[in-house]
Amino acid sequence: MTSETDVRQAFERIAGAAADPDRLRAKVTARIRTHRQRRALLISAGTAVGAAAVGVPAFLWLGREPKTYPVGEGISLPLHVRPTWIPDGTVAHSRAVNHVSPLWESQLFATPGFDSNPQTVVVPGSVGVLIYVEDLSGAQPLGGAPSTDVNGSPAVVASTRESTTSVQWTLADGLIATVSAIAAIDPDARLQMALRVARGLVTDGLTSVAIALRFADMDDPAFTTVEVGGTPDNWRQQLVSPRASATLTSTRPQGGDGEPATIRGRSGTVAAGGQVGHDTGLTTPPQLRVQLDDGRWLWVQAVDLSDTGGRDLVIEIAETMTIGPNPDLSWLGRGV
Amino acid sequence: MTFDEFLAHRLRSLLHFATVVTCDPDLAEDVLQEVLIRAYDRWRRISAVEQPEAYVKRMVVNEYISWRRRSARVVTIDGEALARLVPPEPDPAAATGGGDDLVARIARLTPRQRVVVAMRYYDDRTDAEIAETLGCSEVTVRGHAAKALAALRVDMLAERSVGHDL
Repeated sequence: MTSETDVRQAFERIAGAAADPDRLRAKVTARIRTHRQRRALLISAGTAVGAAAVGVPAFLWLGREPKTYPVGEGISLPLHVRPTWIPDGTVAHSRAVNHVSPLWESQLFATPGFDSNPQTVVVPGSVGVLIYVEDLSGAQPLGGAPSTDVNGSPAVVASTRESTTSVQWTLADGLIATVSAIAAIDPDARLQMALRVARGLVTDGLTSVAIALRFADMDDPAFTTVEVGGTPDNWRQQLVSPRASATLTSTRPQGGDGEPATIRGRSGTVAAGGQVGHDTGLTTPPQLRVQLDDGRWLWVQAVDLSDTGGRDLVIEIAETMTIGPNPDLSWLGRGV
Repeated sequence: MTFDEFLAHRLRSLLHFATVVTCDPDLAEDVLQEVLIRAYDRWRRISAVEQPEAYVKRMVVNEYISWRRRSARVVTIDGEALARLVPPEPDPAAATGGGDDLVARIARLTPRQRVVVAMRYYDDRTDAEIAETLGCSEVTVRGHAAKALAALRVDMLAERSVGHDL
């Protein structure tokens, strides 16, 4: 007869066959990094939006990937929507483009000090508006039936958190737009805020996201996401690839120091990764930090924690990547 | 506790729990990955509850059950997965009638039966806590547990009888 002890021991054996937690953490971290804004603000739902496009302008990148435009020594990617109205007191907070499938772009406008991190409580007076455009291959449609319209296109309305209201509609075949208003205000007022931003979007191609960074290997897809955010005095420019992320910042990146190393002729630090926490059993990622001649900081992190050559990888990336002059960042902290 | 801190401290435990519930290391990794992405979205709310880990485990159970419903994936232990669950080296438990056979039988329980016995004997949860996780009554939990334990015992007795007869 099987005893309860036998059952407990059997479960322990099954648990012992679990996958590598480092590998899972790397996957989760990469997904969160890539999609953190959308993950923070969109509802996961299983039903598709049945809205059809009516009377909306065609988008330049519909049906094809956006091109990269070398500017100086960095990268510039066009954003294809631009708001003509944003709530009073809000300013440009960040822009991001993912240029490999699933294609998406985002812009966040917010009051100073606003934090889009979902762990942060939205305080009274704090307002944020996220404009998100994505293709259907990676879309997370809001559930429910259309209850309003955006310039004639049926739109679905949903509240994701107690302080967020989202409006989603089909811009054109295969292209979905979502405007989320985040504010601790009356839900009706929040909906009107989201709708006014949505109805004011234009497609004149005058907005882009540009960074000073470029990986040496521009093939095989060398980068997936470009993001710029912060304020005029405390900004960050980030380039993400499947294997590593490189971030250029105005201030020293947070985190541990690592071993001293000479990187791009400057004194920096490299942490090889692989340190296993006593209580966690998890491995830290290889990463390096170095302050450049002009005072900017470069921070490179490996994505794949199981990459045994992670230390060499981040050094190689830092040494070989192109770092140009800052692009125009004057839009940070400005209105429309 | 931030999400990163939670991940750093509890990921291994959660992965073991998901593996026990699913009896499939690959599926456990997939299920837990989806759960953690959603947990990140809701972390402000989850971190405010008394036991965030218990909350996430509940998400794992629900995701696993709904995953099967969505994909109509029949979670059975194939040869490859079973080989990973049952190491080839000699197992002392086998001498007492446990070990590999018992692991295989646990893997063949229905998902709800396995969730119940896993939460009861691996996670040391009370029937009330299991009932809350599954969204059913304690009576139902005890019913699942009784059937699961009976299946484990009856099946093993049957095989032993066959072996003895041979």
